Amino acid sequence: MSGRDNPEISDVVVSFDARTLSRRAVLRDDAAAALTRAWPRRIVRRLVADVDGVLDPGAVDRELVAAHRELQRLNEEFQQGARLRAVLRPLVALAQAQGLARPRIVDVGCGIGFAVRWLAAYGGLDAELVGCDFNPALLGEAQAAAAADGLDCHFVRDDAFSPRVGADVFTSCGVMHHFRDEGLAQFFAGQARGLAFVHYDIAPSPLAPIGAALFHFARMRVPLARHDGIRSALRAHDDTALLTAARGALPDFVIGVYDGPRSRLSLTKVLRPVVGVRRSLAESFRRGLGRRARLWRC
Amino acid sequence: MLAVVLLAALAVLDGGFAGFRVAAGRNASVRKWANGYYPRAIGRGAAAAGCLLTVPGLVGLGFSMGGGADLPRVLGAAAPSMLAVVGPYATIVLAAFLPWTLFGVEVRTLVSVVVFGPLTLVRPLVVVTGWAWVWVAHGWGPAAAVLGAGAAGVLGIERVLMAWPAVRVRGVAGRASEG
Ligand SMILES: C[S@@+](CC[C@H](N)C(=O)[O-])C[C@H]1O[C@@H](n2cnc3c(N)ncnc32)[C@H](O)[C@@H]1O
Repeated sequence: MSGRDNPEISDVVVSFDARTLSRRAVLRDDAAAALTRAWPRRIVRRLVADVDGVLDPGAVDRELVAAHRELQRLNEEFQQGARLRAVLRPLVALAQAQGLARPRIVDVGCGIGFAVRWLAAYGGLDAELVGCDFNPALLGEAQAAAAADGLDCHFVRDDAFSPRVGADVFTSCGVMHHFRDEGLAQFFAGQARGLAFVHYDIAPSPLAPIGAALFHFARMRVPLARHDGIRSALRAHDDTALLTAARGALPDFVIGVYDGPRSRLSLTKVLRPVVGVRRSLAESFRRGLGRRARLWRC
Repeated sequence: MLAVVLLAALAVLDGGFAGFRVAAGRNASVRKWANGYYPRAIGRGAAAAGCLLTVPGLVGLGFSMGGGADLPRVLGAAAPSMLAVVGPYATIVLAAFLPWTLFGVEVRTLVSVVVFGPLTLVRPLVVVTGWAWVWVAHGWGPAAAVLGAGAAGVLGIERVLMAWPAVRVRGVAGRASEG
């Protein structure tokens, strides 16, 4: 396994059966052994485990929820909601032009559902907003926050590789780098029934790990969040890897990276999306993007 | 004495920012301004900073009561040295809010990447440098002690705020329960 492929703590402290979604017990020693460096191992060893060394699911979930709240803070600071809305608007219009009055947008691996909740509060999209994740603790937090804010959106438990919840547009944020090789191809293949997808993830660059370290130390306090945030920047897939996986899995889609005016303010391209649209709809999508169509590099 | 007043005002302003930072990332609501969560956190931070200012006040009182030091004079002479370091820092941070407020997504992100993020990290260094500059320029004495107590308060405010029950409840150990 190359350094780039080293997992994050959040990948090794939980395990769910892809078919039944039931939670498997995780041994603390196994989780620590899956991590190659001393820093993440120390963080895992501090997590509560029972006498048999099985990680306490409650303790793990509290840590993950806290980490995701901090991740939401970064998403807010980097205007992730507004960025996503800008790409989704023409896609929703496109779906409506196909006769879908209220297209369904599903955010895969939604965590505590920031993107879905932000869109429900500020998106102004005439769409059904759904978040899915395999971790019920994160979904519980998403649901509670949506209810407290009085938002029209909902959350379901589902697996990212073969989502049972149907969608017209799939989205995700910060999820793709968790999947490697076959997993990445499977992730895209699971979305073949949709009309389009918008998947954001960290844009790899020589500056990305430095920027990630700076922001995760400046903004985060949860050790797991700090570690995983920095590791994410190291694990991020480059454009070629994402496009190869997506195009291989979804031959009926026109797929490209959409990333805004990279040359002018590339320091702000912390996250950039891979956007795919059914081949038959690609021209309409381009027209819907207007002048921004040149940003969709297919 | 204007420099002393400005430093005290900056400490309270910094407390407001610290209140925001401590509260950020602990509440999943997407309406944290509208529902009062952030305004309350900022107010709490500023109020805590105001309370912490009593520490340098007490240190100064101690020196005055001990006799010997003409505290207003030495403090008035030393404070501009500290302001010379922390003033530009504060000006950059405050000025950055102008483009942040006026422009859209890309500029806001750029301001965060270039100004807000890095300056948060160097903040302790700026405070310590400001105080060290007072010591270098004016030597150890009542002014350095008073300004040092103020600087310690600024450096410690996030810890004080983290211990606040409403923040702790939302922290790593707890479920969301406070709005
Ligand atoms: C880095 S987090 C991103 C969360 C969220 N999208 C955000 O931006 O805050 C990755 C998320 O993917 C979820 N995830 C990872 N593998 C998954 C899978 N196979 N099925 C469903 N969710 C998965 C995790 O539970 C986690 O919430």
